[in-house]
Formats: sequence, C-alpha cells, structure tokens
Amino acid sequence: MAFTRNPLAVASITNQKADAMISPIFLLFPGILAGFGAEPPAKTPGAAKKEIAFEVPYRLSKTKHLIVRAKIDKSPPLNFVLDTGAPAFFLSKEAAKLAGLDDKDSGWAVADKMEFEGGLKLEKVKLRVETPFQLKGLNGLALAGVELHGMIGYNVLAQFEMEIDLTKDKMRWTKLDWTPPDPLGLGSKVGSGGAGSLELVGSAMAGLGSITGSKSKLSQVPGISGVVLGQSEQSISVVEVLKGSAAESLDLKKGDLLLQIDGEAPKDLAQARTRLGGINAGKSVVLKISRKGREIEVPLTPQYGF
Amino acid sequence: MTYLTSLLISLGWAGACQTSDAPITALIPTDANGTSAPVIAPTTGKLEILKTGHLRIQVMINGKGPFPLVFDTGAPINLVTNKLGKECDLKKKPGRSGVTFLGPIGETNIENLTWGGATVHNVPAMVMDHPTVKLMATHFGPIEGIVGFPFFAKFRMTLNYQKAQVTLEANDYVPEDLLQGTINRFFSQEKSIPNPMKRSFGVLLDAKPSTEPCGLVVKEVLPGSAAAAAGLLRDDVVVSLAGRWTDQHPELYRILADIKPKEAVTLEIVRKNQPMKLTIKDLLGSSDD
Repeated sequence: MAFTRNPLAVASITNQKADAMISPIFLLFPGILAGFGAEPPAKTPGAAKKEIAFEVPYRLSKTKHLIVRAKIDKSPPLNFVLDTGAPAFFLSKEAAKLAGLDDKDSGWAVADKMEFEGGLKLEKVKLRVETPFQLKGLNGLALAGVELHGMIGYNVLAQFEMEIDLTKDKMRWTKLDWTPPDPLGLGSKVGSGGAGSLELVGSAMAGLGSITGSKSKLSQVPGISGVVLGQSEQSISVVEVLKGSAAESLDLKKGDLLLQIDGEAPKDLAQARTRLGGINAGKSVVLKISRKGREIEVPLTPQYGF
Repeated sequence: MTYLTSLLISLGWAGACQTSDAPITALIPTDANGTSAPVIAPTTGKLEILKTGHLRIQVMINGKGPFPLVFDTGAPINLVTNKLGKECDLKKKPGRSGVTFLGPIGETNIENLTWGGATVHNVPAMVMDHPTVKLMATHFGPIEGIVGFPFFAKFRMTLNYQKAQVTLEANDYVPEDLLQGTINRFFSQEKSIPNPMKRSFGVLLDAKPSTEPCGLVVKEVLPGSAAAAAGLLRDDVVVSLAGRWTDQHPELYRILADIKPKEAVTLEIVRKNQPMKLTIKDLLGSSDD
C-alpha cells in the first residue's frame, strides 16, 4: 500500500466507505460573500489605457485554479486565483502587509498600483483585505502547489474582455471601454453567517498542514550537483564534473564509478540521474564511489542554480 | 492527533485510496438537433451579472432545464444541488458518496452539460448543498449549482462582462480528474516542483533571492555553458525568464519546466542597477544529461 507511510492515510483506508469528498468545498471560491457587509467602494478601479490587449501569463495550479501573478504597491510578486466567483479583488491580510497596506486590518483598501506579470499595469485598484477560509485551507496543506495570496474578482475582471484557453500559457485581456457597476455588498449579518462552519474547517486544515509539513515543500527545489553521469560497461560512472560546481571542489573525478547515493545503490543510470537531479539544493548527501578498486565516500551538497 | 485524524476523515479524504474511475471527458459539441457534430464556429452563451458581481448562467443538464447556475472560474469542479441531482436523475458513483455534516454529498458524471450552443459530455460534478450556493440563492433567486473548470477548460473562452456574453470554441484540452489528483498528491510524496535537471544552463545562484530588484542572484556562471554564451555574469540579478518573474527559486524551476529544448528565451537581468535583456538557449537540449 503506497500510503502506509502516512498514519493519517492508514486511518482513512479503514474508513473509505464512510463518506467522501468534502474537500471540494475548499476549492470553491464563491464562498467569499462572507464579510462583505462593509460599504462597497464608491468607484471601480482606474485602469490601463483603453482598447489595448495584454498578454497575461497564468499557471494552472494543482488544484485547477488559474493563477496570475501581480505586484501590489511595494509587494513582491503575489499569486492570485482568477475568480469570477469572487465579487471583488480579495487580498489576504499577510499579502496586504507585504503591499504596505498594513494599516488596514481588514476591509476595503485602494492599492496605488498593480502590476501583472506580462506588463499590464492598473492604478488605484480597489480591493478587500481579508483572508477567506478557502485560502487558509489551501495554503495550510499546500494543495495548490504555490502559496495563494488572494483572488482577483469582479471589480478587476469586468474591466476586460478575457480570452482564456487552457491549451495556451497566456491569457489575452483587452481593456473594455466601460466602467463596470460596483458590486453590491450583502448585509453583514448575511455575510458572516454563511460560511461559519467552513471557516473553522479551513483553519483546521491550515493547522494540519503545519503538522504534515506540507507548506515547507513549496520552497524546496532540486539543486545542481555538477556531476554528469554516464554508463561504463556494467557500472555508472562520472563522465564529467562541471567546473565551478559543487562537485568540482570535492574529491570526485572523471571515471569514478558511482556505487551508492546516501546508502542506496541505484539500479540503473536513469535512476541514478533522477536521484542525483532530485536532491534539493542545500541538502547534503553522501556518494559512495569506487576508484581503482578503492571505495571512497564523498559528501555532496547540490547548489541553487539552473 | 486523534482529533486531527477524525477531522481528516470527516473532510472526506477517505476516498484517497480508490483508483479513479472517472472517465476522461470528451467534448462532442452538438448541433441544433442535439446530435454529435464537430463545431467549427464559436458559439455564445449569455451571462447574467448579479448585483454582487457573480455570474449566473442558464444550463441544460441531460436535455432538461434550463437551470440557473453560477459560472465560476475559481471553481475547479462543477457542482449541483441535491435537488437538481434528483431532478436530472444524476447517479452518484458508488463508494464516492455519503453523508457529511453538510448533508448528502456525492460525485457524479453529467452526460450532457450545455451552455448556449456548447455541450460537454460526461463531465464530472459534485452533488451537494453547498452553504454558499444556498446563501446566494436566498438573495438572488434560484441558483442550483456551479459551473467551473471541468466545463470551461474544454473551450477557448472569451468572457465579456460588458456584453454579458461568453464565446466558446472547442479546444483539445483534457483536464485530469481533480479530486483524485488532489487526493493522490496529498498522500504521496510527490515533489511540488518539477525537476528541470534534464538540462542545465550552467548558472549557480545564491540561495537567498534579492528583493530589490526582485530576482535571483548569479553566484557563478559555469564556463562553456549556455549562460556564459548568453553573456550572463556573476552578481547579475535574474528578474525574469521567458516573460515570467523569477523572484523565487521555485518560480524559476516552474518556468524552466515549460521551456522547450533548444528554445531561445529572453532572460531579463539587472546588472549594476541597469536592466538588460539577454537571450539564452540551452545547449544540452533535452538529452538526459
């Protein structure tokens, strides 16, 4: 059973008929009516020049959300879900701090500038500072594969004609010559009552993530070892050590035979390459090699690079 | 821990160990008679913009309807209420349904989901009474569910709020089964970042990204490498590759995974406060070096 390493999964196996699939509730974003009771902004955001088309790169997250990247005021690039199910542009509280909107604890704010990946720039963008429970849940378990900082909803999206095609890696947004009407806020009573139980579950999922360590996975990348492997008769051998790389400074030479990576003997060249290429940058492993019949252990720490 | 375990089960991760029996959805657009025919011309659908900015659309399910659903690009699944599920006789998949604290819930396949002139066949959907859908329905009149990714991914879609219209043209995209994908991912040790090490441009980077400008700092350019040929130097800050921001290592890796072998791409850098553009082409190609 592939999942036995995870105790939580084992528990699940015995209960597989119990019931299923509430997980999708975290993947759905129309739930952010909550907290929408405050006064909506008086005007929709100003925008880029009229009638110009922009290519907006996006990525499909593992959870099948369309993710676009943008900088808000002084923030670094942030990740947003393109969400027609969101009545406004929602920015998480954490992201609002990065943008420098931190005097706003929660509620409406105006970002001076918003720059999308690909070059589209908007000015005076109204947004709502709030962290909907779906974001907490998805980020806590790192389900999307990237950290999500909010959703871009109606008040931004309605300004554009958007062409979306999953077979392409960029969307095409054309500025429309109109000012979309402001979204109407629902009463605060309604808003806060709607998703209460889900709110709790979202936080619990976030808590679970910190136990399983899902989130930390997001920052790990495979490193560059500088070792090029090849086949030499029945053995796997070092055919090149890249100059300037981590491996160069080590006692690793062309012609060395690779016996083990961290105590495990790779079964063939392909597996050895995959193993070596998959070691995270900054993580140390020990290579056992054979040189002229003598076995040597060499520590290796792949570096960040590409 | 027991609490968390039970929470996990109640969240429905129980389905994790089942193999997916969801068929690959196939798009067979329909003509006016409802028979299958390849559609060349784009077709349109109407949008009703609710006062909150949500989009309500009218869809046909297995020839019945029209039914009012919300169109939501942020929804990775389609969803219908239990009431609608009954009305359209949608069969829940055995072993993938049950009762939770939100009421009955299950997974189904809709044989024909039609919006305007476009139909997707055999498209997966959840059957459940989502609290938000309920909430919206009480304020805006009937809303019987959500149309999301498994539908719109099958089209080149042009969304225009001003015209209150969507244009749909079939593409050849095949979405995977989200639920199974998500669940497998959560329980597996799958790496979040695709491994681009099948090639190398010959750049070593500082572990810590630069914040001003936002990018990755070149620590070393390996001699004879693609990066050396491109003219990249130590201390350059790489701010974008192939038109995408390289503010963090994982971002860079995602971009690399999408670059085709031997494709020349633009590398935007900042050298001594001067923005510059270089062109880089990987020399090793896609060989398994």
